[in-house]
Amino acid sequence: MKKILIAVDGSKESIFALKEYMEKIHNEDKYAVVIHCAHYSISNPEELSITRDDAQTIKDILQKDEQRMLALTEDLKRLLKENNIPGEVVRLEGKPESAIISKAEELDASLIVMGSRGLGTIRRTILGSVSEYVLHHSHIPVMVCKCESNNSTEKNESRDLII
Amino acid sequence: MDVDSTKRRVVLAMDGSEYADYAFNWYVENFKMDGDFLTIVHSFEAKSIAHAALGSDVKALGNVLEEEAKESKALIQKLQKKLESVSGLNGEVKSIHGKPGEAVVHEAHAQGADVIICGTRGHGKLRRTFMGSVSDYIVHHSHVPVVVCRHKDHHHGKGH
Repeated sequence: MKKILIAVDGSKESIFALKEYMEKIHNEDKYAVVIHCAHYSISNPEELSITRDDAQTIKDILQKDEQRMLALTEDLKRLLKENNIPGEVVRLEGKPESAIISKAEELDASLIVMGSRGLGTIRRTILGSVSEYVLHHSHIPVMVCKCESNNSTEKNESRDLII
Repeated sequence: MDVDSTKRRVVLAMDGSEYADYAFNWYVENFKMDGDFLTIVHSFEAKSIAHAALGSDVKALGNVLEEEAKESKALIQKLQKKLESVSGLNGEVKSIHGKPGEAVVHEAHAQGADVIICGTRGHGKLRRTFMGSVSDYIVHHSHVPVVVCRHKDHHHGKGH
């Protein structure tokens, strides 16, 4: 079976890429490995001023992060199941761009599927730093999907899952 | 999902180099589906016009034009053979005038393609980058998904 790695970050562009895969690319000889990279709200501990009260706040934040990521994993599993796609969902730690490439090589994947941010100012697609990196450094073919969204001016502040 | 109804239009950018061959082979082995219509796009630019601008004699210009036409025809035939060599593969070879990236994207948009597949020569400034200017153009200007195939042995080359 051919393994296809689909890299998702919870954004609607990445979910769109997953849907494109399921609708147009998937067939019976393929196994989908949907990965999402752990994203923590607190990436720089030095920014925090630690007081006794903050300990609880930090705990709350980390817990929220964990819940969000578990919810994403479950949502992705559900999406695969609803579409009868044989596959699995994996959460990866570390820098996304390297984690994606390492995982694809470990799986000996035939293809990496990723989304992009959409159209930029001069109608040139903005990929996002992770997609750009993977495109330039992956030894495995990479498929970049564009989201047909007209909301190119929308700021993608939240990483809420939109399925 | 009803397989018969999902007929895909695939545009494959090929310039006759071995890197493009890899993209074609990858398509056949990993991506191809029954019912696909494959358009192999070969683009050409009228380089002869540049020659003419140099003020060379008319005879020389005529020879250059003839040479180019011959090369183009040979390449198209080679691509046609490639297409025919895969049983059950439906498609055509299209020779389009224009810059390589632009011609491919234009064709894909015009026919409402489902996906573009291209190779890469990997002439990046940094050894470690694999994107060529054509694949870079296609990825950033296409409105349809793009698969960038690099030659598997690329990383065994001088750069790595």
